[in-house]
Amino acid sequence: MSLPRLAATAALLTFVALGQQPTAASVTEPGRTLLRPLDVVLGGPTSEPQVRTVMVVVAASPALAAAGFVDAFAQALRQNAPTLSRTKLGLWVVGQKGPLVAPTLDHAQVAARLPEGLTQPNGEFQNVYADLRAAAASLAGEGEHIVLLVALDDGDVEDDVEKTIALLAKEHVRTEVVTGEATLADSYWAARPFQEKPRGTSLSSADGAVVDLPWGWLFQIGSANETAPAGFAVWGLSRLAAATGGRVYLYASDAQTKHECAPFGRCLFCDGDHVPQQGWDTTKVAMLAPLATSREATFATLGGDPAFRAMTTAWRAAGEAGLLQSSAGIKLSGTSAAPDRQRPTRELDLTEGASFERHAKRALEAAGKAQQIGDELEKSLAKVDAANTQPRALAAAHYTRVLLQLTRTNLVQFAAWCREIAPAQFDGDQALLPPEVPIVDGEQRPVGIGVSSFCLCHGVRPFLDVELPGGDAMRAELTKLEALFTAFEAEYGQTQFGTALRQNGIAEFWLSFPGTPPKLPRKRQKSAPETPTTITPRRPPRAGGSSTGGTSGPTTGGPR
Amino acid sequence: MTNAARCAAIALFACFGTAVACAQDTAALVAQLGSDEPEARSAAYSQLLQQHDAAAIPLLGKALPKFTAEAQRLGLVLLQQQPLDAVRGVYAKLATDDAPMLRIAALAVLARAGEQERLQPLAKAVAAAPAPLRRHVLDQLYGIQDAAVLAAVRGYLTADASRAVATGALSLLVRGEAEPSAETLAAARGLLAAADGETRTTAMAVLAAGDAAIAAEFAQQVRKQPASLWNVLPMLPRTRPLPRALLEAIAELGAAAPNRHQLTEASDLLRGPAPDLAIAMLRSALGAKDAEVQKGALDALSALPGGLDDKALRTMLGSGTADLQLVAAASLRRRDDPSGLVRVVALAQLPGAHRAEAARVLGGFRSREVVPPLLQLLDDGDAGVRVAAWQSLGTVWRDLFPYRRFDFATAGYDPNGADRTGGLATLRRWWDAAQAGRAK
Repeated sequence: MSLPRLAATAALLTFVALGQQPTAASVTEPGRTLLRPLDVVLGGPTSEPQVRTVMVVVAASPALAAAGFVDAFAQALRQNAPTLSRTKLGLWVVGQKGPLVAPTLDHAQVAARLPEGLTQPNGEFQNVYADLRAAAASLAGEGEHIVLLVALDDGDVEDDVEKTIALLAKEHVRTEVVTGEATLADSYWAARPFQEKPRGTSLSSADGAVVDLPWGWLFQIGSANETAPAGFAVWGLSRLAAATGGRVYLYASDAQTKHECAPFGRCLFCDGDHVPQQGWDTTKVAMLAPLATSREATFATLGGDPAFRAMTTAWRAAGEAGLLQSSAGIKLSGTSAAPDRQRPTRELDLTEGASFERHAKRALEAAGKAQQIGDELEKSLAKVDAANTQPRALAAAHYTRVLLQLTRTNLVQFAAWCREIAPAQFDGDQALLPPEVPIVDGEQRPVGIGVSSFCLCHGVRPFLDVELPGGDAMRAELTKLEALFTAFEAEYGQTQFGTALRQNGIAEFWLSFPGTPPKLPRKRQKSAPETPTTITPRRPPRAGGSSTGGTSGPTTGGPR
Repeated sequence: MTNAARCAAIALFACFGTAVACAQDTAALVAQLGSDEPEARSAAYSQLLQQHDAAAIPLLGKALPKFTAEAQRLGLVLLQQQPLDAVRGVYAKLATDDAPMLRIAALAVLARAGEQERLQPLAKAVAAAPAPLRRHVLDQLYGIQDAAVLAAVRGYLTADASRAVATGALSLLVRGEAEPSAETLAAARGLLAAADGETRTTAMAVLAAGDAAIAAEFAQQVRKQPASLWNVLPMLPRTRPLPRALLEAIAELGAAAPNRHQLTEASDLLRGPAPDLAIAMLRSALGAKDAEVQKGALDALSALPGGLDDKALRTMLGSGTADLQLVAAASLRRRDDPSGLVRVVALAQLPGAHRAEAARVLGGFRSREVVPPLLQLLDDGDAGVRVAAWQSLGTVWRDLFPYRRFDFATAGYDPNGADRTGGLATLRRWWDAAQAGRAK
């Protein structure tokens, strides 16, 4: 068993033994349908009808409209009619003032008006927290008060989560949540700090309170943080459920759980017929869940975690070396951590222009840095006591180690490409044997270097058969990468971290040439007759993937 | 006139004569298609179908309005064989014809071709079609999803509708509506009292998702008459949940599916809501006597998570027919297990009908080991094998050498060519050089 695997296993076992803070796993139910949560929440805890008030708070969205929520709701009402006989149901649509249907025993009225609440599925951002506070405050009467929030898309618009929790606690309201699955340490909004958002809110889509996995790695197209399913909801919703005694139910359509090898780039090793062997190990996935404590408490916990600290240190060094475009956004001091502003990272400028030799030299310097930072991280992790680290932090640190080697491998390949392949494409005396033909036709001169990606969904080993620039040197780096990759997959392959790793790739490089720009019609600007009013910003489209959410133990479903 | 000129004139006259004779044949055949004698009609139809002559188009356009209903149907089939651009004008004329069958067929073709303005008159014509024509009208409406047309079709679901009309109309409605509408469900309910058993079974299939009692009755019915399931399986909804008891009945019957297509249909229905039943059904079908059913079961199982474990697949590599071994090797490969490659390479060198499939499966492996056997198969005696090997080689080389660019036409190899020696030598030369470069 490799050292990382020993450490990880020990950490998992120790964590269990010592007891744990609430995590998203404590509150997230298995399954990915709409009917089950409705059945559970509306059906209630016993077969005896209970005096309750349940306010269904719905955030209309195209995803919810397409998911068949109206049918599922009607079916849940039918199936649970006896136990619902003393439950008042209400309907609240996010973005509208007041309830669409005040809590009533006439459930048919709620079912009848539900389609009306969903008729305007819009792509705008919705602040569900504000409506949750208002809905909770409106509940009155005897018995338990429950808010069932159904928001497939809008949990990332954060509006004072802790204040919302305080109010819900004060009103003794339990929050149940039906929502879409987040992605692992989602960096989407961190990468778009200037995105317009509703006033007074912030955008945070990660499964944890903190983006606790480095993102924006050099030569990776897109970020695995934005596509690898997390197994849990966005932090704010998990936090709400955890703090109010509720549960989180995730929803995903069949299309979202279908496996796709290469979310970015292409797969060299299959025709889209890959059937990943095993599903997620839900026990391990649960162990690697993010904390569902407050953001402040999360920082306090992570600040004292040695694996997290080692990873964050490596992250900062990697940013300074130009190996990734993100900074950790976390300031470490003593044994604590605090939010830090996003700091600019070094730009290596490897793909502008056709100065191949200069690019190659810089790439090799950066590859040396990647080696150095990786070795230091490995040394730090070897000293980590499994009893003193969060399993998730350890997984993230090992992931970072693998990514450092992957980045080094890509840099070595890039340098070789710059020296061996790129210049040869302009060699008019190339003696190519058919059926091979020159890559570059004609007399065009390149203006830069394009990058795409071959995914690692099938592992590293198959790449040893592929002809990549760099020859033996490249094969040596691939062999090192394979060792790290295999060790990581052995421990984390059946978890959200394994999925994330496989969504990274070996880079591919190609020359880019100037195109002929289209002739654009001249735009003649006019002055506006009146000042435009503020509108709710429109949510940009995102491709979402999801895990299949089985029950404990090895699942029959699989990750993306 | 010289001899040469005389010969040329004779040849030209012969061609002209032949052309005239062919034209007369086509005209005569079209006229014969309108005969009252069924045998004469049928003979004309078979010949015109075989000839596939564009000259028949305007002739049919003129003649069809005068034909009997049966002859019109045959004529419409002949027109549908032809490219749309060639027959669009004829359809445009027929779209206003008095004969309802011609009018409906023409309007439907044009509507499918994107002429939305045809839908409203089509809906009217469908609604007004006399009862004896309705079963043939339904044959023309495939692919039409317009609400008004479907409403007209729904009007055919009367208590006295024949089996063909009732089942045909339900089939169209199920395919045309994303979810069966309340009106369709009500119409289907009306057919539960039909005298004909197949009509009742079809109606039950449409209603099964929303009614547990009907689903139970349907399950009972198909258990009594298993053959009745296969006709109505496409009518069962894929988007709404079916009761577990019904799914169990389907799985039970699916295990004894008479052919691969029906097994696959049952598997496709079960895999979403009840993957455990799908897996059990397919595992049972592995023991079928029909080799195609076995293969279909293995294929479907290999695509289902948890369907086949690696141990079972590796066992299959060493036993069973060549086809099953190839499926097992491909299934393992899809799961990142290349252990079947050795067996596939061996099978590629054994005589048999499996070699084309072996060539195709080799191409899935993306490994340098597959190139030598593929190069060998490029010279196989069977053109199908050569074509499969050629396609596989192209895929493998492009993926193993992503930094090289290929134009395979420059290799001088044609899998259908009589002399492949030169092309093969070119390909081997390239491969040997690429391997030598790697060895440096």
